[in-house]
Amino acid sequence: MSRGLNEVRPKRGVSGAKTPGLRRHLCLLAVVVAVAVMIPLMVLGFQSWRMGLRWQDMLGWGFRRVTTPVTGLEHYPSSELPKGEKISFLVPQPIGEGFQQPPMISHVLAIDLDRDSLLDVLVCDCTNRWVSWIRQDPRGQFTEYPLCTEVGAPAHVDAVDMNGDGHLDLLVADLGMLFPNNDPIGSVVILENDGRQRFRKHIVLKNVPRVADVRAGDLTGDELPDLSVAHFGYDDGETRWLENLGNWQFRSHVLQSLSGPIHAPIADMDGDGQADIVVLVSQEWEEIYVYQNRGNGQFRTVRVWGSENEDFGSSGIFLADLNSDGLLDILYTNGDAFDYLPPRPRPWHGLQWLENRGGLEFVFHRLADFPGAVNVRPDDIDRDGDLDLYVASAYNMWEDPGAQSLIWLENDGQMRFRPRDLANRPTHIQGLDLGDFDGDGDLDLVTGGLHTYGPFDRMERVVLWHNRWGQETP
Amino acid sequence: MKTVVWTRRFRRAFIVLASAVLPALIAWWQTPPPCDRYIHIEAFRYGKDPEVIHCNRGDRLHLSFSSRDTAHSFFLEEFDVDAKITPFQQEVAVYRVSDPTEAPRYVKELTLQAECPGWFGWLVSKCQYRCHVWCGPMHAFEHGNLIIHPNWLLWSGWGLLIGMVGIGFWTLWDRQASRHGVIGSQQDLLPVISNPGRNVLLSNAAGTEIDLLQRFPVLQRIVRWRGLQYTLIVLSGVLLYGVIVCGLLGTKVAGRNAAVMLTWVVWLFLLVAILTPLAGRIWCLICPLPAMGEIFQRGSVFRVERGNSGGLGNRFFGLNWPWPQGVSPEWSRTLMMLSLGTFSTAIVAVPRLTAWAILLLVILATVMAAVWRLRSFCVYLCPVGAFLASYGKLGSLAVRAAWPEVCSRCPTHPCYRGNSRGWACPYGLCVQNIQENADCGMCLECFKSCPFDNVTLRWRPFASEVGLRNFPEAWQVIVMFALAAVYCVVHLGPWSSLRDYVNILDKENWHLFAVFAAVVWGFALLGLPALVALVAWLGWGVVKKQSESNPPFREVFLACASTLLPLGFALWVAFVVQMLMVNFTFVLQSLSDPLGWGWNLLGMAGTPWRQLWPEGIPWVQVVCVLAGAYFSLRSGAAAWLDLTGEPGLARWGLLPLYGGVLLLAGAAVWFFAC
Repeated sequence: MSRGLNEVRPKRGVSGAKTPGLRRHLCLLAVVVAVAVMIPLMVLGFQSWRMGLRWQDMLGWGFRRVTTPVTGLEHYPSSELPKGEKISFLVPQPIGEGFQQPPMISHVLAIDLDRDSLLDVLVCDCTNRWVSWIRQDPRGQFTEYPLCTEVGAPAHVDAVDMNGDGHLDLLVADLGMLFPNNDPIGSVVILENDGRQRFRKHIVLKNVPRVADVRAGDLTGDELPDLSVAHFGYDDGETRWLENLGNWQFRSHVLQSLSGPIHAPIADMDGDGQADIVVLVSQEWEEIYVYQNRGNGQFRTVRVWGSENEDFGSSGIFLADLNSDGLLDILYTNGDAFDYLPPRPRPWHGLQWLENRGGLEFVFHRLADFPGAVNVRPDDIDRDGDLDLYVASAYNMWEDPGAQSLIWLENDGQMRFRPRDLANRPTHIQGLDLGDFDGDGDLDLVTGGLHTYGPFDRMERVVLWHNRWGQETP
Repeated sequence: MKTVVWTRRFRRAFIVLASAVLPALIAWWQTPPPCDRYIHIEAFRYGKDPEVIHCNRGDRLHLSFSSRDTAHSFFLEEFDVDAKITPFQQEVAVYRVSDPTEAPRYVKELTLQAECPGWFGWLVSKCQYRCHVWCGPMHAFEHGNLIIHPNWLLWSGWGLLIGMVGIGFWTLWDRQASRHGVIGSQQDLLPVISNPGRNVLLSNAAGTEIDLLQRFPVLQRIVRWRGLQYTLIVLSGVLLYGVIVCGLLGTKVAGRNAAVMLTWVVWLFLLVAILTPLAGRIWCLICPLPAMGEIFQRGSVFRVERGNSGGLGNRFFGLNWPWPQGVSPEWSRTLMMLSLGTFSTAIVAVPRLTAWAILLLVILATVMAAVWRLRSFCVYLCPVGAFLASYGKLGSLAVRAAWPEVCSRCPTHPCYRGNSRGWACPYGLCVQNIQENADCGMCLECFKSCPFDNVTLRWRPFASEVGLRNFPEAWQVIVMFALAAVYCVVHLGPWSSLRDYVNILDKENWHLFAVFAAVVWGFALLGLPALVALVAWLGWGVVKKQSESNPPFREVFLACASTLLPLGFALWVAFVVQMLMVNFTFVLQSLSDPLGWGWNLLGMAGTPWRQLWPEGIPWVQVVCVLAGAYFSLRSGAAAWLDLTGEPGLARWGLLPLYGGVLLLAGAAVWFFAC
């Protein structure tokens, strides 16, 4: 039989030996602490080097990461004004194809594709797995034409003249699959326009993590549009830019390897005349980066904002000079609710304005709470000289009949915003864009519905909302 | 004589073969011809409806899909199919598992022929369909079973079990017959000796133990090298620290975080399936959890300090209090293990919880070392210690006295007290008294402190030592068995409703979790012990009727509980084998990108998910169960022979015990094969 620890009782106070040296203990402790501190520092240092960030930023991030609870309950106090009365000025008109199954429109773009001075709509349709063109011809009459049918799940489309032939080509970001998937099934497709709206397909990137966004801009100064690509992926995501070598050839450069990039618009954010890349990274990161263009294909990484709430629900950014100071600001929605099933709004969902103060310094302003906010567009809606905002929601509390899918925020001129209801049907508005479709001088809205979850009683696919501000509406 | 032995072995081999083949042939004969089956599969978090699909070999399965909540997939690697299911969409995108970059097929109905390719495919009877679209924190546990009849694995497994029981009885009959001169003297298959503590040691009598230090003298230098333990601890400590850093800083996706993958897939597999059966409690040698506390206690890493702290032969830093009297180490660490085990799903699914759990154990071990003497944490509270104290007994490696008579003449027992050459035993043991692996942490300190070089490493057959000494140890073994069973049923089984009971993560089913915790604790501490007691009482009662010399009920209970050791261990191995084989590529990914930050250190970060020989997983598991059942039956027979000393009586006593083992092992075979 084995004996236990207590079989020989200690003789207390009978220790005639010397106490082990305090210095030795302290040395040992110092070594242990040094190693314990060095390892995470090295990890964070390596990551900051990989991402081009300052190590101090990374250190702060690591500290917040460890000290923040597993599920954050962050809530940002907004400066919104009390809710205003509803003003009815939008007249909805469904356009394009009908639907049998719940429509899943991930993106809409208002663009005059055929240059006939009548605004059309480009549609990313994940139900039919196509990119289509809703052509307005003649005015007020809309007909939908599928342009590219061999895409898995188109997430974003942009229209840019990629080859300098004067015709708008289409950049398509293909997720491969709308729902989470970590396989390399994403692709970047360019549809080359022959001038008669017949398109030739060029797959410039394939077998990569799911692609959520692709934008064009001259990043190298060679007057050829390069591309920024947001690979949402799932666990494996990344952001890269593709250097245009001409003749539909591109060279790939990875900017960062975080999962969850949603948007990667290209714009001159620091006013140095060179196009920078702004990246919204969602998933557990919930951060916004600006990749400052330093010329010759070199970029400096600047993290302009990051939430401590892993569940913040970043859903999109839109660049606009909201305060008309000549610097592009970042309008930022958070309302993604896919972490909950069925998707439910969270108290911290809403709209932010990252005010560009120059030198890539951004000041965070919470503009409004809005459950399920996914898209925003600025416009001087009330024609008072300042920019107001349209905001769409895909994941509001739909069982509440008063829950809005579309609101607008009235700017009081002091950059304080008063929410006003616009519509509670259709629900699940994901795509939102503005354009003067009817030629009356004001901006109309076009929206797309992403009805992945119920309720399915107020569904629409693509809706054109005629702006009748100041007129009698039914 | 040799002819008799070989004839008997041949007969047994024939019985084993027949018991495996005959039921399978009958099942084959009764299987109807192939047909078409139309099955609608609804996926949800975290399961599939139907949870189990039964079909016959060659059937054409017409599968349609829908999702109740979010996107899922029907991932059936054995058929090279990964059908992505989108909510409220009839079509599924069918990818090939072997090449996920290939363009998918979009179909409303997926047709499969229920036959796997290749010669082994003919034997595949169970496939598991899983989900390959991350759908929530418990996504990894979403699966269902496709059972292809005839289920060779199930029927052969059951047949083998029955055959083993039959052979067990036959062996006892042979023994009885030989006693009565029917067969003559034979070499028994179940050699037994016993010690005063009723610790049954199998095979020892046959002289199968090897003195490793005598056989491989180079080992003497290695085990007596003072730097060995802390060199190993530094290595494991760096890994442990890496795990904590990854857990705290890395991605929250468990499958992509090295903290979870290294701890709950790699380490657990190594501990359970490799280290324990081969080397018993060897993990304690390299375990980094108590290292900081021990260094603090000793005030040194390599140098030995002479002194007389706490009545021992060394000088220790700290309060050196004795552990409170009356607290049983078995009970305290068993309850600790049960507590952690109850929350294991959450700990495994959330990397940060894994990191915090490990960190808390390190802190606890260090604080306890400052307050209590020696390795109090390891002896009294370590949950891994509960596992190792139970199953380390089965291990082949053992620290023992080379010559017990030398120990008996040793006046000072420096192995226990320590001296200038070695520290006092951290586990408070004297080598002379070590007759089982349950307590010894194999720290090798006694190899250094023994002035007579009388400590050695023995290598013996697996499961040579299965006896239990007391009730707390019996309860420890029963709780470990219960936990293995619960882990298998909840995490490996197709029953999604059971997973709801442990889902305190996204579904926050705290009320169901309370029920789960009550059931697990009740089952482990009361239900299963009651079953063991019933089996023991039946055996005890039967023997009592047959003979006047009845063994004490306590000994019968301990003997019955000890039969759970090999079978419980087999369940643990079956559990970790599946964890490793299913998540193998995630291990590679997380090694390449430990924090899920987009690194690709080893070029394997983007490896698509493939399982390691998925067709073979149930076969490996059933073989584990059968092996466990064999050792359980063997240990039961040995224990009853030891208790009664009479093969005829032992056979009566064994009846309920074999029935119980048959029931448990049969259920386990059914679980893993069906």
